[in-house]
Amino acid sequence: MELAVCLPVYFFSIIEQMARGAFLGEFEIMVLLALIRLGEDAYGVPISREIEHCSGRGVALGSVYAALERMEDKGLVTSRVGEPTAERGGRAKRYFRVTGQGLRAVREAQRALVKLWSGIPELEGGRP
Amino acid sequence: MSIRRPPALAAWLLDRLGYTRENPALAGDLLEEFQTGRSPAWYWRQAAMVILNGARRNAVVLQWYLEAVAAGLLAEVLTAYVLWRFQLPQRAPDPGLGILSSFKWLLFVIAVILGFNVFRRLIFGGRALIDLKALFAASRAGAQTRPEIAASVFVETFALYLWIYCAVVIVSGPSSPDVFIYWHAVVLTRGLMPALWRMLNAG
Repeated sequence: MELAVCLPVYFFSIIEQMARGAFLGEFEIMVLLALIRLGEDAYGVPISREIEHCSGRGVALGSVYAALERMEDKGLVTSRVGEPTAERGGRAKRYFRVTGQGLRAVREAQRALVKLWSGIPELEGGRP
Repeated sequence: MSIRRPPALAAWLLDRLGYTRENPALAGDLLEEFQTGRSPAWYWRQAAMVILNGARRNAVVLQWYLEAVAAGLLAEVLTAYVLWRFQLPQRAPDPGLGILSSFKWLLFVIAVILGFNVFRRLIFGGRALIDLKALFAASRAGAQTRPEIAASVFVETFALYLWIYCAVVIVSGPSSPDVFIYWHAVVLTRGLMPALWRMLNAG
């Protein structure tokens, strides 16, 4: 009986640990890079605009926040709450910034991607 | 400067499903962007993505819930085997629910919703699939834990009672089709037990 109860609990713990050690996703990298570019005053709106400007594609604010929350759980970013304003219906902004661990993760992703990209004729010179 | 109001139905959905309450900064960002001249269609697309992202998280939780239910089902079968092995009651007892028997389908639906809801709260401490605060009309700030505690006590007591009853029924044979409804209610709410175990043993 105890085994039937404990097994799912430990299974869940294993799943959590696996998720923490996983690679950064494409969108997570973009969000981290946008955060680095924006510096200290980055919150949802400028982050999504920065990604839109650089990628040329629309970005959902909900997806940005989902990625930021995942990365905050992993320790790659931290956040602080700002002051509420009337234009935002009395709701405060939540400012994010990249941690040292987040910077290391981005550098590792960059190293891996550059290595994978190099030496592929179809991708050299930016030609399709 | 006058405040432009976003599409009422989209804003209501985000509020009722708990997203804006859970993440007020996101709600503020959506409103801020909308004030810059974004269209109602843009707001609807943004709201749909917020709900979709939440649905994906719920799908993961549902998978975990079903796995916890499977563990509970295993516990039920093992209990029934022990009862059979020691030749316990030969006749299925009356469940003793009285007038509640007339509302067995409602009980079943409530058991499923509350069981999943409380499981989610206990495991993730996050937004409920259905807002218990609204369901129990709690209005004080920080009162969310009271209806949740009440719901968990109700569900676990009910599930424990049905667990014992159904284990006996498995051994002695069902006296009526109603038994299978109670059986399903037990199986679905038993997913709470691993969640409680984890909560009690969390560091």
